[in-house]
Amino acid sequence: MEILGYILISIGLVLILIGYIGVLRFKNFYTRIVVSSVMDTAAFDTIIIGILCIKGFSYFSLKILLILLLMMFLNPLATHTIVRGAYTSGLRIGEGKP
Amino acid sequence: MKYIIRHVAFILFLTLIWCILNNRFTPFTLITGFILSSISIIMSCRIHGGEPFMHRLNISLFGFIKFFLLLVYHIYLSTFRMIRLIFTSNVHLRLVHIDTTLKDDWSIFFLANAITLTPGTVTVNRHDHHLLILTVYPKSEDPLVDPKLIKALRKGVKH
Repeated sequence: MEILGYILISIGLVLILIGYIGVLRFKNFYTRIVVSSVMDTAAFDTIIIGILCIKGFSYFSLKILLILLLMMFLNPLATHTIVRGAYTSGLRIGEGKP
Repeated sequence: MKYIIRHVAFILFLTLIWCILNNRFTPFTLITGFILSSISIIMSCRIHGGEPFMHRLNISLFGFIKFFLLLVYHIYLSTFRMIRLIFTSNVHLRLVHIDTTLKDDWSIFFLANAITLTPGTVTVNRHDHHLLILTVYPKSEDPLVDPKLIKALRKGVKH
């Protein structure tokens, strides 16, 4: 179980790396925000599940599960607020430019 | 007292969180947790507009867990699509209007959350039943929101 946990954490770190490559590669604000959601959700979830696998069932893992639940609700809220702020303040989507 | 009876499931959920944060499940923690959650529920019900807002949330547990598992599956599915797009840089940035058939405020909130959670799509704005979605997938690819997800959501959150 512990080995599985370490493998999952490694996958999560690779996903974060891919997310960073995406953020640095694209120049448009909207593309960057969409790409950053890869590391926001998938990488974070994978790392948390990896920690749960290592620690097993205890109070610690229940607390980690609470953090995961909280992130699932608050993360989209933050992303949505940033994008809505940009959209309503007049930043238009450049067609064709990634 | 009527608030406590009406929101007993929510109070028990808060008590569970209190016990987890306290690291023990003794009768003393359970009782203090129940009292403190009841006080917080009564206080939030007394605020103007708080009671009807909380009363509308009606979740069936198993339906919601099914929706949650389906959501996690979709998150990983779209992550792999997104990784392919990052390395081929085949990005078609566009805004899409979609209409939802969901009527309840809470259901639309969960749907908008699910859309933002899946990589590659972000909810930008909402007018009643219209959602404005930012996406990077080309037009030829399959629909943005899987009908199965909406079906699971409808079973999970009742109106």
